[in-house]
Amino acid sequence: MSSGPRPLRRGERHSGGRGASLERLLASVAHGDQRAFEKLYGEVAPRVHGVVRRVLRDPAQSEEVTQEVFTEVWRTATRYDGTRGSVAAWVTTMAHRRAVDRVRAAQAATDRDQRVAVREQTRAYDDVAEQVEIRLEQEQVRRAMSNLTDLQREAVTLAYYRGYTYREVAELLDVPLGTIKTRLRDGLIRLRDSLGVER
Amino acid sequence: MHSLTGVYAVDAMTDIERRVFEDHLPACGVCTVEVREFHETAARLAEAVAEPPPGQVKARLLASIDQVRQVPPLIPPEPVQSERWRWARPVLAAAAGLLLVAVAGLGVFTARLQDRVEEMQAVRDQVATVLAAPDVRTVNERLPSGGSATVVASADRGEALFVVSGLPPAPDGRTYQLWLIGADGARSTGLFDVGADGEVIRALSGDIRGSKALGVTVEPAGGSPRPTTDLLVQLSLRK
Repeated sequence: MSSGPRPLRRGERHSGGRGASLERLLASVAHGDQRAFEKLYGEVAPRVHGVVRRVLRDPAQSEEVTQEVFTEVWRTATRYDGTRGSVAAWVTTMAHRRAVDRVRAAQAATDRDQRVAVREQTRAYDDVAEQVEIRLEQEQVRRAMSNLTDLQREAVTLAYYRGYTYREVAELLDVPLGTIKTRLRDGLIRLRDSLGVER
Repeated sequence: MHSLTGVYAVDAMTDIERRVFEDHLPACGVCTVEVREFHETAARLAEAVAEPPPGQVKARLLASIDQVRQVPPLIPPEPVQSERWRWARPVLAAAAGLLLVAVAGLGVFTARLQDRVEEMQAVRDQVATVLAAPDVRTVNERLPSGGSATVVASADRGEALFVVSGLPPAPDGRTYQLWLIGADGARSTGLFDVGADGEVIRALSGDIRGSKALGVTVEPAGGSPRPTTDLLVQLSLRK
């Protein structure tokens, strides 16, 4: 008697069980297993470094932040709580936040003269307009992105891949703040739905 | 505050805003679920730009973690009290509590004011977008309590406005919640409260395409991840 494919468990939908194995690896890391840590690094370092590079651009700083993120993963593996999200989300959230914090700290140091900052933002926009189309490796994400309205896509791209605050995004796109807030949320809702994120 | 989930999930707020939002987060079930889903979504965005770090990063890292102590897991704290200062604890706790309430109150007040202004701008903006759409459509239903609910929607633009008049305020400790109802059930698209004038206008966040109808329920304050009471009214989004 053929039993057919077994139903998928939570977390297995997109990664064919890879998600589950990340959780297992992290559990071993929490027990101090350095080989498991090395394997976990092999699995998630490319996305960590990828997102950090997008936000920071600078290769040397990106390497530093990537290393910091994994040191933090090692240090706090014991505090990971599976009920609050997947390991992939835990690690990439940490990576994105650190990259953004690094950018903001550097910015705070250079933004003292408001007029210079404004001029630079105007210059930055030309640069953004050209580069807002981020090269995406994954067909599925590319397709999901193309389902967004222009404003949603620009808001998500500038905030996530460029590390701008929503005020900066509003300024660059010349749109009211409240609109950027809702477009960011709407964009993420649409991405979540078309990517079939576990709910 | 609920509209900030997207901004929060992609770290597009300042440190202060982040702290105010993180204070609000544990009390709001809807936001917590949404933030978690957005973080999973963002993880996919990260995967799409994956780029292996140069080999030396791994080498440096593995050499360094050997000298990094892992933090112990969190254990719920056991209450330990010294006899001598025991009387002071409730006093200190009360004082600290008052201070916290005052500080948080000020932060929340400011954040709310700003929220209001931004919400109104967003609504104004969306009213213009929806009304200007060539396929704009209006559906109106009477409410059981008197008054009426209306949805003005553009399927092309995937946006809609929700307007009620003559609705009594939600009972104490309760709130109205809006749902987009599709083939896969109901999905929250926000909470609303009614002022003394019984009128509300809301720009719907979330995509209305793929949804059959818009519904309203009464939920416990903070909202629910799924509807827990019967629909007060249901407005069709399909032609």
